Amino acid sequence: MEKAVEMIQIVKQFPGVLANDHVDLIVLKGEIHSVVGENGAGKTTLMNQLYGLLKPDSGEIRIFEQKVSFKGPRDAIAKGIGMVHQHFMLVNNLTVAENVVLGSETTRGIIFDLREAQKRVDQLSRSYGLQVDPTAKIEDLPVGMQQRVEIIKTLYRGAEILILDEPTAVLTPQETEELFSVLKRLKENGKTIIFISHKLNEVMEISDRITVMRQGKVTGVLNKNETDVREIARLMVGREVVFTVQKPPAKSSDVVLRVENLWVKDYRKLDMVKGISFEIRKGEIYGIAGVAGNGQSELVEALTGLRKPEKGRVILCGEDVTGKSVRELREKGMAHIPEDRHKYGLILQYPAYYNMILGRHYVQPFVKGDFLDHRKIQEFTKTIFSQFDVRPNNIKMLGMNFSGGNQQKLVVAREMSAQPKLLVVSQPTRGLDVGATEFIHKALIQLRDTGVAILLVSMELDEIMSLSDRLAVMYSGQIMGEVDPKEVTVEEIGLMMAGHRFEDLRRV
Amino acid sequence: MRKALVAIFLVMVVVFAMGFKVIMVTDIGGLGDKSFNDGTWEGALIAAKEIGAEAQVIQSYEQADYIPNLTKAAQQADVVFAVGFMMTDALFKVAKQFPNTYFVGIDITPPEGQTLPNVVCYIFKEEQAGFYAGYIGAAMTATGKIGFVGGIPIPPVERFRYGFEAGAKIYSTLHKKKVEVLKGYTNDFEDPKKGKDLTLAQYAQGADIVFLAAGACGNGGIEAAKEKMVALVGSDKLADIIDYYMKNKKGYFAIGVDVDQDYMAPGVVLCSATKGISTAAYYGVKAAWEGTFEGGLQVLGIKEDGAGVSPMKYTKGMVPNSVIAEVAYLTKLVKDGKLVIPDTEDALKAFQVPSITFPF
Amino acid sequence: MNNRLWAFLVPIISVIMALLISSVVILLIGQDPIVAYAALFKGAFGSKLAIASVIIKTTPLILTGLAVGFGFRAGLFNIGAEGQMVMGAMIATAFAINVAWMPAVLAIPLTMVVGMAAGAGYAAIAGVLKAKTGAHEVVTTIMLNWIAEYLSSYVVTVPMGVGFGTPKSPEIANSAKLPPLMTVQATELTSGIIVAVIAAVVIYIVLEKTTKGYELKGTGFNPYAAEYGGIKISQNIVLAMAISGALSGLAGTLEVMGVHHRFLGTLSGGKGFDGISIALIGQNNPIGIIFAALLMGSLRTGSNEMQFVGVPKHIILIVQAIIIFLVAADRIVRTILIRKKRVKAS
Repeated sequence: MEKAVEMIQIVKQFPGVLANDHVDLIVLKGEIHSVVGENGAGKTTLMNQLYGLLKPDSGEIRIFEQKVSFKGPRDAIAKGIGMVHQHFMLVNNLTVAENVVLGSETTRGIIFDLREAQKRVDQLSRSYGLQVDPTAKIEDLPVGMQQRVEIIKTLYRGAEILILDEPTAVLTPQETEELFSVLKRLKENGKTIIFISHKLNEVMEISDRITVMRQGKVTGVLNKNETDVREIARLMVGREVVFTVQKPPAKSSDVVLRVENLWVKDYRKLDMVKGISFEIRKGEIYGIAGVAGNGQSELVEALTGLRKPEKGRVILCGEDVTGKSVRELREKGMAHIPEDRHKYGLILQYPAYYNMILGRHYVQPFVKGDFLDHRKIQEFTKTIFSQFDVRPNNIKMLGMNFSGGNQQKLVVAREMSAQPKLLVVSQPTRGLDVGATEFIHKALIQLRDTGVAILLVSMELDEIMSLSDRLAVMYSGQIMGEVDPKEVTVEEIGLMMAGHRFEDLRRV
Repeated sequence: MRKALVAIFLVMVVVFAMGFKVIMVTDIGGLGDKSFNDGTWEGALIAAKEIGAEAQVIQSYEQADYIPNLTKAAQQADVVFAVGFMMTDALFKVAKQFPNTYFVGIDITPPEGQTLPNVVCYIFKEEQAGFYAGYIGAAMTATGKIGFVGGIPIPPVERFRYGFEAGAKIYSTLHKKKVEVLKGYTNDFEDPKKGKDLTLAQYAQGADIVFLAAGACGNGGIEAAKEKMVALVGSDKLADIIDYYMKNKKGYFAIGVDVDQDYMAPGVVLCSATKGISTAAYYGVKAAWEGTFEGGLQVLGIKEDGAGVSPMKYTKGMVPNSVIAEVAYLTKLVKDGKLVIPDTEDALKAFQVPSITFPF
Repeated sequence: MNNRLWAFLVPIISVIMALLISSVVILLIGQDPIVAYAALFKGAFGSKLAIASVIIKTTPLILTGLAVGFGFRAGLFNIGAEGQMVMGAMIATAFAINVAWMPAVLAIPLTMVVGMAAGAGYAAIAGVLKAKTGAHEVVTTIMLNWIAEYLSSYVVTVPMGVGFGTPKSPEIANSAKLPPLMTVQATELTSGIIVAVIAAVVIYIVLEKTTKGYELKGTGFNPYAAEYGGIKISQNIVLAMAISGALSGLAGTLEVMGVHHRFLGTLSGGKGFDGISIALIGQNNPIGIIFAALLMGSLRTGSNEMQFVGVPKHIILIVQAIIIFLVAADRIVRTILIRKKRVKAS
């Protein structure tokens, strides 16, 4: 079979990091080939070299068995390579057709022929099953549709080889399904697809062959039919990974948090949370699922004191704490792992041991009068570092110099060590690799078992379904239904995320 | 014969002058103000050249520099100039420490009647110079409004104003012409921008002649006048300006201060109210050199060539002869003490124009 | 460790490079740079008088540098040190004129407290405006500067003005005057320098050792994270502005108590703005600021001597500008380097 891509003995060195260490990648024409690995394994670096964004230090790249040397993405595009980035590169207030031709329009003469462009876009989308209205504006389209526009864009430029970087990270399960059928259609039409991911279930579903990377090296090239998730995970992480979260059922007893008819506005003064009520009991993980932007952030902000609710009541351990400040809430036993660790969770310019006391920087044992007790703080941080295995084990290193996973560990460790009664957790594993994710999941379960009530907000369905004892799905500021995750299907959750009420689903 | 004598005299002077040094310490305005500091420097230079002495100028950045700069100057020089009202206190503090050095203060009044034998201070009857500005301004205004732009309202600036207002009042009483005086201060002596803004503001309020008693700030005022005048006339040539004025009897004018500033915008600077700064500086150096130095306060007015008006080199043609004759007559009255220009706020309020009949 | 050495080396290298570049300028105007720099050095350190002058100039610069630097650490750009300095000096003078009946042990500290309170109160206006309405402190402090400037020139000419000569207030009571450390001819070396150095040490301790310092710096680095950590942002903004203003106010007060012994309209002379450069050169570190102020003070004093050998004062302004430029450029270069590293690592 013809080889679409050959990357041979690629070496790419960054200061202090060997990002690609003699990597070989062979992709056959007409296959869907996944490249998997933890964050920092070197997948993106490898792809950036294939797309001409980076130049390899040594090694050879062949496209359709022809040696190439790219000076930039333009050269790569000319050779038939297209890339769909994780963050879409679309102009929001232009139409689909305009976005598709943007950047290549000048090659077709001085006058920009919009009608012709629309026709081409329509043709492309029909032949690959990528239904999109060419005259719609990007800002009016849902995320899944925007991704289609990106794919059409690459096809319009004549891509034969498509690179998709973590394409499912932003999609609902239904949208993911649709994407997969598009990919299969493309494959039937002879296109070659390189699929970057760390979601192993998806990789198993879509790929023909899989290249696994760890720490800049290839640790395995597998045929989908001859392998399973366990093997891939082992090659990725370098050891056995426990997949299903082991957890005894929750011992529900006292109510820790009660939310009654809560209304919250966002900074634009729009209602984002519209009359939500729920309870979380001691020793229970209460999950809130939903597509981003349906009021989860505002709900979390209202519960953690960062935003004043408009209406309704929040009762923590029997005490009305509606509209209390962050400090008061923390003093009453609230802890918070925020969704954006860079914006909220850490002061990146502070050393790790300063970050470990944020929120408790004024209480015993960290202070002597009005002075910080540096010795005690450092001792405490050292204990936490070994307990949570933070690396590197340097408590004086600045927050910004830790890797994403270790930054998140700092936040998680700090909030868990505060001995809270209620822990509000938002997107705890976003952007983390398998190892760190596993660690944080275990830690959450352990904390639950000591009797802490946990509110878990996550966009990751796998995570929320396996961790939660009870699960609510939010859509447009309201709860679509509260379910036992063991008793619902992923499809049902997906429909609720799209705005269907649970009662209506079960009635049909 | 005479030439030879002069030559011998010069040689002698040069020999004697070896090592005779004059240092002038400026206030924060510094050289280049085209009025006050430049004027003193000019006088000191002329005198130094005459006697063959070495002359140097030291500029100060800030108030705290006055004492160290004067001290260092006193260590090196025979005559030290302190220029500017703001240096009063520093001058007397330092002069006490150096009884063998002569100090000349320009525009400085000894504090609380304190006098030192090695310090001579010159102040000027600014009101007498201001009187010219007021009188000529009142005579020439077409709008009946003239403006006063002061720097920081310190006494010399205020004396200019008293004289200016009195001069306007004299003209207006004698000629029954209604003249209003607009007043404003830039609170600064350095930034031309501030002078320009204030001048433009007074033009906008209807004034057509503005007197700028604001040091280097005033340079901006002259610029403002020039811009307005050029916009009106459509040319910056002196001949065109004079033609336009003779035809239309209107225009925008500035009045300069301290030294003859008429040259800065020919035809636009109507006249300058001058102080005998360089004269004073000249006499200060000469007195020290000749050994006739006497400490104390010298107040110089019209009579002593300490106050006057520029010769109006460019604008004489525009000013009616009658006005020039009147000014000359009034100058004589002031010299003779028959016309007293007020030099305080109270005197200005009480000022009554005496009955004057011109002998023509 | 490496970083600390770097922080120390950069300003020194900047000074040397600035002197080298300026020597070209001096050559171009036909003077000998070696003679000029010898005069500069002699003027700054060559005599008792020189050293006394340097210290007199350094004292207020330390405090305004601290004021601006402290603001920066808390994420605020206080351009109003100038106005706060004037307000501090003016109100401290009004107080100190009337304390002849008090013993010095009481009058001296009380006058300082009054001056600091005045500066703090004045700066807090900008702080409250920012906390309540979001008005940017750069704009408000600049406007407050103008108010202070015009108010002061009014005060020294009308309500407080006395005597002939420089527009000035009456002399303050003897009990409120700082005792001079040394008197060289007409120059009195004020003991204000001790107060300024103590202030720097106190600010260092507040920033590095206390809970408040933790909160203030945290707010400066990342207000979102600070809020998340239960730190009241608006309270800290007002407090940081007030402390910054107190330092500026103290700068003005010490000028009155130690140097002029009265309030003068032109007392600040741009030292509030110099504070910005000094904070930059001292990299917002209180101890670094002491040295930066000393550098600026000696350059300024030495430059007066340079005039005696025929080099105009503007040269020293060029040297200053080049130093600041090089220090700032270093920041730019380092920022770019750090960015690049981060991009590559991700």
